[in-house]
Amino acid sequence: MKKRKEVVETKLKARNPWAEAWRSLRRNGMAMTGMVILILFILCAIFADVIAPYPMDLQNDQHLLESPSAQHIFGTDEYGRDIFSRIVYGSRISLTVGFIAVVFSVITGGLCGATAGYFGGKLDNVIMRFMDILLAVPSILLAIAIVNILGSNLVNVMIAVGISSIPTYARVVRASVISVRDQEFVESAVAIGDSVPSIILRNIIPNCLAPIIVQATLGVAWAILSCSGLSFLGLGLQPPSPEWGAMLSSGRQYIYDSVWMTIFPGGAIVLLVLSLNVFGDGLRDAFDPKLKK
Amino acid sequence: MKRLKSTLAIVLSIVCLLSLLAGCGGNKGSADTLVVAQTSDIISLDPHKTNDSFSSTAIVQIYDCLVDLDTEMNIVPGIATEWYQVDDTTWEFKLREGVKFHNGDELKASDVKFTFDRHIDPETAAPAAFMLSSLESVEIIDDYTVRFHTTEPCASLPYNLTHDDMAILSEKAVTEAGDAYGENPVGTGPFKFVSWTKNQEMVLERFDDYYQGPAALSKIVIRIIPESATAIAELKTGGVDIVLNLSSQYASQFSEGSGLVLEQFPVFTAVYLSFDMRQEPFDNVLVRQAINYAIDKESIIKMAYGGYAEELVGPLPPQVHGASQDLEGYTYDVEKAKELLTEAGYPDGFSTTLYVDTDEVNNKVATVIQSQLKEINIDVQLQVLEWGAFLEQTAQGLPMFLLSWTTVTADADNGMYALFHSSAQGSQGNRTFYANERVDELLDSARAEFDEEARLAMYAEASQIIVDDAAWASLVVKQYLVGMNDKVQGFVPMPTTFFDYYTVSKTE
Repeated sequence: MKKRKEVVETKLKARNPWAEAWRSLRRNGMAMTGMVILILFILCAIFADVIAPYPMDLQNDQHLLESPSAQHIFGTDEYGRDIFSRIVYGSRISLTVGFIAVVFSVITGGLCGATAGYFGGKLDNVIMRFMDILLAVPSILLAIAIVNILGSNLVNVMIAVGISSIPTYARVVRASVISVRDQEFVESAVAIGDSVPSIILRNIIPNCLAPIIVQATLGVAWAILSCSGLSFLGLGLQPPSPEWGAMLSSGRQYIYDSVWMTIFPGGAIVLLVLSLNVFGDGLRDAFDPKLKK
Repeated sequence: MKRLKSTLAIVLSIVCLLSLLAGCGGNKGSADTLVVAQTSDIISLDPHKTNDSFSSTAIVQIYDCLVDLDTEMNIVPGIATEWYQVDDTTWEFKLREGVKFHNGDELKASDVKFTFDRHIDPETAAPAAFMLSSLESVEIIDDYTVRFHTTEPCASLPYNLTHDDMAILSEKAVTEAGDAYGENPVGTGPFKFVSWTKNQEMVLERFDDYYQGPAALSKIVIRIIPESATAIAELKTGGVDIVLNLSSQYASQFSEGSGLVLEQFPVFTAVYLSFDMRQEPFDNVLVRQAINYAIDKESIIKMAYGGYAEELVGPLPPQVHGASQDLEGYTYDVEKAKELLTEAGYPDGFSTTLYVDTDEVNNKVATVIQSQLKEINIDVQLQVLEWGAFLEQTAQGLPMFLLSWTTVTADADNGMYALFHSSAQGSQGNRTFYANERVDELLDSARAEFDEEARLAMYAEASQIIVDDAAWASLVVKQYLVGMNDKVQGFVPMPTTFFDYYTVSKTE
């Protein structure tokens, strides 16, 4: 009898999807590289004050447009500002925008999707048709329109990027809620008289977390790219904020003579977005039961 | 049937090939076609509806004025052959005979009268009408003689008449076209209007009956290329012959052997930082002076203009007629600025917003100023506004803004009256809402003063008062850069930024 219990326990342990996913993720070299780079960027953002050798907006008319050197390892821009320091501080902006925008859209989109999926019927139809309307407008155009209405600053960029990705999360969450809602444990929760919000939040959402996390990781990459895109177009953050897209945009004017002004911010965007995408792909594979060995 | 298909295929491919070739031909200018690139579109071809340099690019070619400025800023004959003052308030102009409009009619005194009547009519709401504020009426003496009557003596009238918006229009053409005149212009200039694709290009064609003889070029194409980098690339590949108002960061592209030529010359464009003097804390002269002391113009020139600018001391660029050469300005002195700010009651500084239009270079200037004012604890937020909105809002009053003024007539009256006279507050130019009785008095009497020395002394006094009041933080005088390929000959650099392509030709 005792022995049997042990067996059950080990079996349960082996079935824990989170541990399983982590094991599978660890075996994925690409995903791990992406994760390490991502962690480095996050550390960079947290300790920007320590890492950056110069203040991000310190102008110096003795060192204009200098190529990379020991003193300024990524060179300087047209105001003599240190590009490396600006990129380090810029990681703060990009990651903040990326994470907050995604958290915002996951929560709003997730709630809409969960409500639609759980109740179905007319409510589902109304919510999802509204999401379809949002989806019909290309998300970057929607973001541009929102920023234009609200005005361009950090908070508004986050709101714009956040709103424009709500429908994606609503759809993902709705789909997984529908697949979960008719299972026994939900039925039993209903049977013992749990309230609807409690059922959605405590029984259903935890069981749909995997696809949401995957979608969110990829969503952060998309949000960072959108924020840079908006700033590149002059709709995002205003000078002198060291937003990478804005740096890229101003560097473009000097591209004939001072390539470092575009290469480094551009490289930073590519590296961060790529690492997020690779990591997100890894997560998806890890959570996908069909790929499990 | 099969045969028909293959014939069809051959015909179609030939058509495709031909259209490809045609595309190429359209892109490359031929020997006597000049392609000019500028960043924004022309607003209108009706001189009474515009007062901006983008529209001038075309208006200067299509129209003629009574009098013109030469490169030395002397007034020379245009449509008028001679002019003199009959009495204090009357000027007489003799018109050239046989000047033809593009529609074939001859220019008569009635056209001149019609033009100026229309220009000063409040219903026309002409943006450049402030230059004619003292014009009362135009009188026809005979077909080739007109008299200008002014309400008060106006010494600057001939200067003001050199402005491209003072061009003579054809009465018949304007009346016939009505509201559509802005797109159907009829002038007497060396080129006539052919077509206009909004925000893309405008085509002008040689007018063979031009009174000074036909131009060397047969066609001018004005292309709108918002991105300087694109314009430079087009210049290199031959798609464009002249790029107007180039940013300094592209100057390095014009090295020897590149086949490109960079024309560089000072213009009458004064770039300034200003304030709405009715708003706190800018109503305090000490604050304005502190800002003046805190700004390092040398850094601005290096960082924003790549060295292609000069420091501006007073309200007028030094080459403008009437600019005082010995004004006491402000030197860069952060300590002094901090002291003044403390004295004004802002020892810890304050926060404000600096408004700027979308121009690349102006944004750089604003960024440098933002960082310099941080040194004296003034926390500046930058706000970029689209050009139209920017002009509209500065006319209502914005705390701090960056703007420039080109004294296109080369005379102090144009460069100071609209900007500092209390009657010109708001959209006419005094966006600082500056009001100083002594300055008003000096500007009014200088307008009416015919004694050159006394007139210059008045402008000098007014300028010094304006500097002491720190109405502006005068920043720089722009150097204008024009990029050309080496086939272009005879381009005449004008400090007024009005470029006449009559003298231009192209070599093979």
